[in-house]
Amino acid sequence: MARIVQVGAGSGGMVVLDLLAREPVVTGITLIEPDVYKPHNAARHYFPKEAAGVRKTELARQWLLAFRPDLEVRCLEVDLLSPQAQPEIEEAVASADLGVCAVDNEQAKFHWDALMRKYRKPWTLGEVLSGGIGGFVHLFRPDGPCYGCVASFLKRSVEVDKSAPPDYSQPGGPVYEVTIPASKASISVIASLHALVTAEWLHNPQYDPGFTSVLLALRKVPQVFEEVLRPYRFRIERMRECLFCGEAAQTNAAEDLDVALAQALDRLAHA
Amino acid sequence: MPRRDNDREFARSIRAMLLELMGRHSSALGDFLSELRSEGLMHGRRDEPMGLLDSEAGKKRLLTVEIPAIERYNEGRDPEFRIRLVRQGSNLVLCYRLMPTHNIYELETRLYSSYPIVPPETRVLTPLRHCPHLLEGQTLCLWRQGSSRQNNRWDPARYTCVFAVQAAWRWLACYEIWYDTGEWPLPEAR
Repeated sequence: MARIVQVGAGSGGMVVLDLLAREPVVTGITLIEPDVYKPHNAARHYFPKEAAGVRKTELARQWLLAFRPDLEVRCLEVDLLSPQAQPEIEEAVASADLGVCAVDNEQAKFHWDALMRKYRKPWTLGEVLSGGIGGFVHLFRPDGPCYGCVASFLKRSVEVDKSAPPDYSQPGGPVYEVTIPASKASISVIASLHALVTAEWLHNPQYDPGFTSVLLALRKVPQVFEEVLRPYRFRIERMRECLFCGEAAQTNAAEDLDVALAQALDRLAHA
Repeated sequence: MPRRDNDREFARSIRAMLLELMGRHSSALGDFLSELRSEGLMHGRRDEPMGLLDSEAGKKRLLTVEIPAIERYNEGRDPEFRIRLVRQGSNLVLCYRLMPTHNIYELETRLYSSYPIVPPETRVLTPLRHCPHLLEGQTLCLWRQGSSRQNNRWDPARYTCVFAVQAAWRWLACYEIWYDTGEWPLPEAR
C-alpha cells in the first residue's frame, strides 16, 4: 500500500498520474494543481476541449476513479507556492510515501525539493526539453543529492562549443530557439519513463536503477544529441558544499525564524 | 451595467449576464470564466507566491547561508565598504561600495523574491560611461545561462549573494581597464 503526493497535472503530469494510478500498490493519491483546463490544453491532454472551464484536479479525479473506484483521491486546488496553502500541502507531503513532481518551473521544483527533504520523502521528477528533443527523469532519495545538487551538476556537464548552441539542459530556459512546445508523443515518452521509474521504486524502496538522473534523447540534434533514443545516465553525488542540502544549510536555524531574521536584518541595515 | 462595488460582485453580475446571453454550456462562456478565474476575480485574488522573506526555506537560507556570508564579508572591513542589507517590500537590497583600483563606486545588488533561484541583479549607482556588458539602468551583465565560463553561470546551490558582490568587483576592474585601454580584458564568455 502506498500513497503518492503529486504536484502538476499538465500534459505530462496526467500521463504519470494515469500510469501510477493503475499500479495496484497505489492506494491513495493527493494531487496539487491550481489550474483550470483551457481549450488549448486539449491538443496535448487527455480531456476534450469541452472540458474547458473545469478544474484540472476535478477532471483528473473523475479520470482516475473511472478505472480505480477504490482509489482514495484527494485534490488540493492550490498553488504549490501559495503561503496560505502551505499547511495543507505539508500535511499531504507528511502523509505520503513518495512524491512526484510534474511541474515545469524552477522555483516550484526547488520548493518541492525543500518540502520532500523536510519530511524525508523520496521523490521523482520528470522534465521534457523544449521542442520534445528529449527529457530527464530524476530520482531523489532523502539522503542523496538534492535538486540543487542535480541542477548544479547538470550545468557543469553541459558542453557549450564555440558557436554557443542553445543549452538544452535547461528545460524552459529563456533561449528563444528552445522555447517551442513538445509533441504529445515526446511528452508521453518521458512521462511514461517517469511513471515507470516511480512505480519500480514504489514496489521496491531499495530500487537502484544505476543512476540518479537519466536523460533520454528523442531526436537527433547536431552538437547536442548525435543518436536518437540514446540514454545518458548520471549518478550524481550529493555536494557537500551545496547551499540547499550541504553542511552550510544544515546549521540549525533559530526556532523563531521571523524574530531571528528581523534581528539580523536590523543589524545589517546599520552595518 | 452593474455597479462595480468590488471585483467579486462585478464578476457575478457579468456571469449572470453571460448565462442569459450565451447559455450555460457555451465553451465561450467557459473560456471567459477561465479568464476571470485566472485574473483572480472568481475566487478572490490569487496569492502572491512565497518568496525569500515569507517561506521557511527562504528564511532559513537567509539565516544560515546569506547573512553569515555578508557578516563574514563585513568582518574587519572599513565601515565605508561594508554591505548594508535593506528590505524593500518583498526584496532585499545589498548596498555597498567597491574600489577595484582607485575609484569608489556605489552599488546595489537586489535579491528578488524568487532569489536564489533567480540570480541577484546588480547595478552601479555611480555614473558610468556606456561600455560593453552594461545593461539598461546601469545594470551589470554578470550572468549568462549556458555560459562556458562557470563563474558566469549563476548557481544557487554554490553561490551566495556575496559572490555577486565579488563578481561586481571583477566587472568594475574590467571596466577600469576598458576605460583606460578601450578593450574589455576578459575574453568574451560564450
